[in-house]
Amino acid sequence: MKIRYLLAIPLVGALFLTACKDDDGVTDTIKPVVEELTISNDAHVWADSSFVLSAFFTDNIALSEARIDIHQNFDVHSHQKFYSFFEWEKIISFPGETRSSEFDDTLHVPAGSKAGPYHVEAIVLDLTGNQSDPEIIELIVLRPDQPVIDYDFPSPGDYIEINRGAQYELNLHISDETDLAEVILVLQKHDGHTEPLYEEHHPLDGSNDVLLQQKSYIKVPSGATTGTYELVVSAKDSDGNLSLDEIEVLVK
Amino acid sequence: MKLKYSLSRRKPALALLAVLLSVSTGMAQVRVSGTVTDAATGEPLAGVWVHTESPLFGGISDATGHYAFVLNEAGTYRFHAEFTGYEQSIVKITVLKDTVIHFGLHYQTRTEELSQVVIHWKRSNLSGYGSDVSEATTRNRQQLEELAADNMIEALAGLPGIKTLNTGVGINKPVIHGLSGSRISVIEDGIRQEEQQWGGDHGVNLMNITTDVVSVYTGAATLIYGSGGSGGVVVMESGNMLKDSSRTGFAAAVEGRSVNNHLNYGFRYAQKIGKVTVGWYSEGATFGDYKVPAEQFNYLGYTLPITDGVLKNTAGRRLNNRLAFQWQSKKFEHHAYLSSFNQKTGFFTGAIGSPATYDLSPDGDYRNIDLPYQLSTHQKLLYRSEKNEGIRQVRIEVAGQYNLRKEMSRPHAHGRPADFDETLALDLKLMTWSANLRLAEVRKRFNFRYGIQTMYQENRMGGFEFLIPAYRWFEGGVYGMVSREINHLWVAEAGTRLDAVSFNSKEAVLPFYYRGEYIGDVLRSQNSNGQKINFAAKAGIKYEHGRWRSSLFASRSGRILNMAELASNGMHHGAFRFERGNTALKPESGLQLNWTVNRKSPRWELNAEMYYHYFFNFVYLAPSGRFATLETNGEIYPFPEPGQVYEYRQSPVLHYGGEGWLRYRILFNVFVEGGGDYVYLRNNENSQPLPFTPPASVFLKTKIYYNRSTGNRGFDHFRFEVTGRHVLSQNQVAINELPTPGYFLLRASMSMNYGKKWNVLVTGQNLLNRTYLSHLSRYRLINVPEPGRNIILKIRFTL
Repeated sequence: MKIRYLLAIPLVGALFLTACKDDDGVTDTIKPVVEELTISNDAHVWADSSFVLSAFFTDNIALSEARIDIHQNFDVHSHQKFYSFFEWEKIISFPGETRSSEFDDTLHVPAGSKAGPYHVEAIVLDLTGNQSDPEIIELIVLRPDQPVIDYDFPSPGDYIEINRGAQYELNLHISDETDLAEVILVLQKHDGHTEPLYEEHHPLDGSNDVLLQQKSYIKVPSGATTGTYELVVSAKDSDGNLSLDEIEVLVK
Repeated sequence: MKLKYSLSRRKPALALLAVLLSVSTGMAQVRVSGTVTDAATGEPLAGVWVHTESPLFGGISDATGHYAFVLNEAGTYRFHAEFTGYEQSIVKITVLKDTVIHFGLHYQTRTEELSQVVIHWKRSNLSGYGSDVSEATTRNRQQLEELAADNMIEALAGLPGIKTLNTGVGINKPVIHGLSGSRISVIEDGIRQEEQQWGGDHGVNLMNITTDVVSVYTGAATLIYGSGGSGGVVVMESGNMLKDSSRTGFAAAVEGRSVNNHLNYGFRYAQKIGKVTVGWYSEGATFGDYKVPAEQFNYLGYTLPITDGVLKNTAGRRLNNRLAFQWQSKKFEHHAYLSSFNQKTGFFTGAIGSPATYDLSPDGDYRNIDLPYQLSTHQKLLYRSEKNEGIRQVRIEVAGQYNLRKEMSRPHAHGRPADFDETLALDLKLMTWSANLRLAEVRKRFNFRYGIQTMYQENRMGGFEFLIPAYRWFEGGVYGMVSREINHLWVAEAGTRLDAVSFNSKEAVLPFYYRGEYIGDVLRSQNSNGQKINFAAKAGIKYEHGRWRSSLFASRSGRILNMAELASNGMHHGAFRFERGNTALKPESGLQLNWTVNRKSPRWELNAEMYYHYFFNFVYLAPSGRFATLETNGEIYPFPEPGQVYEYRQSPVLHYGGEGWLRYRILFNVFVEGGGDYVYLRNNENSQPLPFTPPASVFLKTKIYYNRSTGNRGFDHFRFEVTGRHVLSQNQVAINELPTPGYFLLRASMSMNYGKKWNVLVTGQNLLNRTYLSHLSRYRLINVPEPGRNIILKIRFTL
């Protein structure tokens, strides 16, 4: 019988103690939001020119700090940082009980910036420390001396249809004023994170490769899943400028 | 019944008397020792009364099934091994010198109504230096090996209430009742394993093959082990290197794991040279990148690929060795060893810093270790000496241990210029000297345990990054505990502990770079001195009647904070945040109530524990709402990674939960086991859950043994088990922590012996190849799932 009493002691104690919840303070667990992140000029900016970066942040109680960062996205997160890329970042502090705030700044892309794709990323914190989901948009820096991608294509803006097990002939014409370094063709899903259906690499090691003109045969394996893909043609020159072009592909 | 009752009261007293007599005369004494196991399962039996008939000498087996007692003189005796629910085993042996007798007891199928012999567990055995009231969960080497875990800490994770905090494969630290880090002490041969000072996600660098018994003490049952361990203590002990009468011993094992093409070996060899036993332990492992059933993961808004379902750069290597000595003097048994642990493991390139800074595309080699990676070494020199017989038991432990940890990383990812080619990001060196004296004494109806512990520690820092400062640390503690047998049913225990710490940390000035440009030398940590005093106490009672045992104890827990909590000031890669300590924080203290109940019969076994803990000032990392920046020369510079500053803060915290399991023996060789656990942790100041709270889980296991008793030839001792574990979703999450969905895992394991020397073990983990996230994994933050299906094959040879 005694053991029952012993069993009862902690149970009663636990009930008593769990009853002592103090629910007086309600903690803010709602994340702030990067409502808007935009770049003027349709996000295509020439080196040695300026653009307007705008952002809009909100929180249910009070914003604390935001961080906006521009970094290169030349090789889909695959290379360490070099320092002739266009890079910029800013931490914005919000005073008092700011619930929403707009940020506008005119940024100048230095003349020596490499042409290619960049990421603009914004994160905002509220006073409690809740961290927003990041907002990421793409910025393309252009230069007159970057590689020029051209190919014969039925009608620009159209898409290609390729049957499974078949191939598509594409006439490539890629040129650069000084020296091409590498040309890559990748047929992949839009998110770019599954195994590509087709890959073609053209390393151009010579010192004066100003033109790549050739026929490419885009082969689709017979076991491929049907659907919409993209053919990404990328060309890099020896100055590190990167040009990209995307063609929509329907695999049937 | 009357006779049985009187037996129950006298046996322990007689056992004690026998031990006392044997010690006091000291003439032509003969030591009898051995183990008692369940003949069907091979599992050790604790609490078995092994004794002679007349004159009466005897002892009670401990948790590993081991017993020992001393006969007054050589002669022919009838030895009995008695345990409720098992057939009594009797052997007649002429004992001329120290002798080993092993008993394998047979389970009686109709035992429930049989004799009610009461054995007082541990009352006559003080060797644990633990407690007479708090129960430990104990596993021996055989049981641990059956779990086919990658390391000792992972092996514990199958026990209810115990989990691991993981950083990839093979880097784990124990989580007991939802508490981890410096709230859990890992003690090896009496000495606390050091390295938790460096922060939250560093594994415990322990050898696997050297540990013979692991005991887990929960709650504040831990006064004798130091100021840490308010959540629990994992006590690992290496036992005798040789079986009692052998002069040579050898055991070896090879193991393969499919999930990361892991291959390891281990062996232990011991040889008696004169009066000294010399042992050599060695183990090594090499493993590749591990597989996950996923093709991509998400991090900070980016979806990134996991090519071929393999996590790039998670390969590693390990090589550990120990040279050990054991000898016996007149009263003391001495152990000394020198051990060395060395591990090199890669960090998944997507989990360090911004993934944009590392290459996630496959490099064609699944076994190479590229940047970023870590090197961990742990060297230990230990001497321990103990006198375990007689009314006063003594144990001395002296050790020096050196922890080295190097984190190698690309400097450009940390703002360094392109021509900066030093890759040593963090270089942590920790030297610790410890000396402990523990005593246990029996006086009339009292057991006393008291001791003194001292520790001196020196930490040095190097590398181009900063985490915690260099420091010196001196710690001293005294404890005393007394337990009293109130009557044959009740035991009461009370104890107290006082610790004092004095530390001094050095100023740290490091160069700061922003986008490759040197900005200036900046102060990362100031000179600081401090003294902290901590007090802990406990009181409890245990009730033991027949097959039932229950204990209840209340304690005031206390923990002196570590240097990471006091003075860290740097980016914590892998956690994606900047961590900042605070020297003004006070030692953590709280009140705790623990209750355990246990019922053990050969057919039924029930274990349950409930705990309730109120921390007055729990230390935790809280988001500050600010990004990590540095102000110098009137300019504000962000740190290279977009991390939010997390500050160590203190708040009252409520912590409660419980776990339990029930085992039922359907037939003499078929068992069914089921159980579950639950933890709740809440910050009482803001009513928010705390991060890394383990989700509740339930499990069901079936275990079958088959013993053909073929002797030395053929396959025998079959064991087969299947475990299903359902882990519930965890929606009680801290600010910025992600909820984790529930999952179900299936595990099966089979082992058998070939002859007496060979053993084969096959285990399948995550047999359904489920894609799941572990709430306690660092990779949860980036949605990287846990390892997929893993088949483990292990072959052991024992001479």
